[in-house]
Amino acid sequence: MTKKMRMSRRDFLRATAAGSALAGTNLFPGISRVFAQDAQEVTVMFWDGPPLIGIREKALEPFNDAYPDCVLNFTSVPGGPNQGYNDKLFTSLAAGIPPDVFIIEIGELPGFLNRDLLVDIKPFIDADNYDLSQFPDLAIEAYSHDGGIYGLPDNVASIAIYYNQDMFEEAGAMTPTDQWDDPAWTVDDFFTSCEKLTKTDANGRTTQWACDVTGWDKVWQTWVRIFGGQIVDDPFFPTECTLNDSAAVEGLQFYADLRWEYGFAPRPEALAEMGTNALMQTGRLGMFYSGSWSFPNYRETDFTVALGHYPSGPGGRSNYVYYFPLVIPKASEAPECAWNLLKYFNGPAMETIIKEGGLQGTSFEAQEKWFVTDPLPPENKHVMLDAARHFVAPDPVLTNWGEITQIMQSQIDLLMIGEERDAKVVADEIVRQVNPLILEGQWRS
Amino acid sequence: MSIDQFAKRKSKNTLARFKIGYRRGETVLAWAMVFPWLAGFLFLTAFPMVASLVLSFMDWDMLSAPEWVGLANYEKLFFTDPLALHSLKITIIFSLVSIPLNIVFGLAIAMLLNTNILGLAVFRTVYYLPAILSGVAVAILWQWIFSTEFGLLNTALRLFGVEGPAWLGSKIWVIPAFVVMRLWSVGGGMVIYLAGLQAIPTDLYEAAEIDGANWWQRILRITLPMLSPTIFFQLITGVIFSMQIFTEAFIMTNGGPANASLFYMLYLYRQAFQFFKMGYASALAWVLFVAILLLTIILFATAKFWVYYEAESDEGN
Repeated sequence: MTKKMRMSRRDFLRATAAGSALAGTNLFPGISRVFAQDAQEVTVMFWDGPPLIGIREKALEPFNDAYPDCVLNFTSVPGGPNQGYNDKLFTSLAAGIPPDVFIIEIGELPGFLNRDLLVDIKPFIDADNYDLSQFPDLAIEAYSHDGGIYGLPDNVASIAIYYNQDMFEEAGAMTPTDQWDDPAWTVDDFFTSCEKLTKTDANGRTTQWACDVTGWDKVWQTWVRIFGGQIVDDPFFPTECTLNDSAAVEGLQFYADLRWEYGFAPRPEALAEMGTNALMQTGRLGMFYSGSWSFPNYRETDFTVALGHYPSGPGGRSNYVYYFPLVIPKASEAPECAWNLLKYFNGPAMETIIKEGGLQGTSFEAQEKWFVTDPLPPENKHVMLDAARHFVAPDPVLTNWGEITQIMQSQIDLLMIGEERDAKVVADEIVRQVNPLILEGQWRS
Repeated sequence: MSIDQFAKRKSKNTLARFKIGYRRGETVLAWAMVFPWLAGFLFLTAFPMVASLVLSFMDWDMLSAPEWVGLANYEKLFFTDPLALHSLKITIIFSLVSIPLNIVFGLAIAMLLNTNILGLAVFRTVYYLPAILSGVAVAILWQWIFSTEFGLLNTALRLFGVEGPAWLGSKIWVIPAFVVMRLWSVGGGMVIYLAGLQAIPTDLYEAAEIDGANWWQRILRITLPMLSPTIFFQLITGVIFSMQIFTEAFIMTNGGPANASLFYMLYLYRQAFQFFKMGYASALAWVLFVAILLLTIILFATAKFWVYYEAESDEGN
């Protein structure tokens, strides 16, 4: 019996080698920690779905070599905030064991700050002399509160106009500009192009649409701003919804009329089954709005797809840029490792994330280096970088912005599906419902 | 006491002790068998229910400490939150249309499949299959069927010269679309009706035929009364099932367009897991629970007028 239990020297060496290999490859973070006695485990949580699955994890793999004192544990709940991610995140926060670094929607940040849940990373930034000018100013301003900074971007994702260049050329229509300061490509130019692009058959049925009209909040809100309107009086200190101001109503009306008055955009029944992407890919739609995540859909089309800016109107040119923050919770037991991870994510990991994951990237430098220079279609990718540089429309800082958005959307739906044609009626109703909630969601004076 | 008597008495005592011990052992075994279910019920059902009742009087976002607000959540639900009542209203409308249709279709199919026709087993399987598919898969499948331009439904309608509506994109048609979709899974009810139909003694039909009863009279006087406990069961479960409709709306419309398909459970889910208003969501859940309970009690009260139990009738005799 005794002989059976004894371990030979060869077996001992084998076991040690296997253990070291496991610790080195970080296949099992728990085991790694046993071997790397002083290392602190740092858990990061994303919501990556296809095509990003595995990419950020791969990009962060060398982190363990760069910071031997930290052991990375990567987790992801695919599908986005409302498909399981938030459930897991909030449950772990309630249990006091959240990930050390996690992504949140920008609209959720005020709620987290209001409850004092996040680590102020400003001391780390100051200690490392970390350069924040590489990120959009407005994003950093949105992450800031009371002298502190509470996150770094997970990605900067601009929305641009994708257009079918061949269709525009064939119709002799002016194309969306790729230069932000271009005096051309105004709302009037946009309208004229739409007239030229829209085609109907002998029975009056539309066979080719010029543009898309979507209920996507980031798009209709951009049109409101193009006409000089605003969603709230002050995004950083909102006190009331201003969507029923004349300029805002004009923008909203123009946008809805593109579908219902002029027939430039497909109606919901035409969109219900195919969706915008399918209409665009089959050459039946001239232009639509999206971010870099749609690039893979336009790499093998029979026509050339290019990117352009929104038109300029009485309120100038506008756009929207996603700037979700990566944050560190106060409950983290390894805030320094978490900070190192934030730096690594925005530094060496970004090349893989942009090149293989197709994201736009966080810093302007990284975008210039790897995103804009990507030779694959569509053309004019610098439009997205340009849009990020000119980003001026942050989400209102309210603890309940998500709920307010949903209420606005249900009313905007009426305009989008043609149940209500008068934008003023819709805007008035939104203001009536949303104003009490704005007061409820205010949290900083 | 003789030795014989002593031995007899001792053996009697031993037997009694053995019996008691056996009974005790049986009791322990019974409790051991019941324990997993009991523990599950207490910790996973009863405790969360009580906790949610307490939470319904609180304001809690999962991240801060709960705050006692008394009846404020219920006051909001009934008096200041139009969406809560709107979602309750459309859920009730959906149930009022969907439940009777499901009963009628389920019963009709069961009666058709209770006859001797060729390929009976195949038909029964085909009708039952949708009932075992997962809700998400069904929702995605029906999204395609309801597709306006290329969907199966509108393509079929076009064959008859009818231009179908935007089922899921129209405020008017979205609820009928959900009703139609629920009809697809009547197979689950059909199996239960089929079992009920086969339990009806054939001599009743034979006697009725001899008395000259026609098909309709046999249905009205024999089939429906004899099947009434089954129909009652289907009605009760139908109410519970319909009032909790969620997955289909969550996947297919997310409550749209313009909240036209914002069913009560979807609204509750939003409050709980999107806005993290756990107290308010708990109040919503308890109102739904009470509503379903009241409906069930009302249905049970009406049962004595139309549900025929053969056993009760025999006892009466």
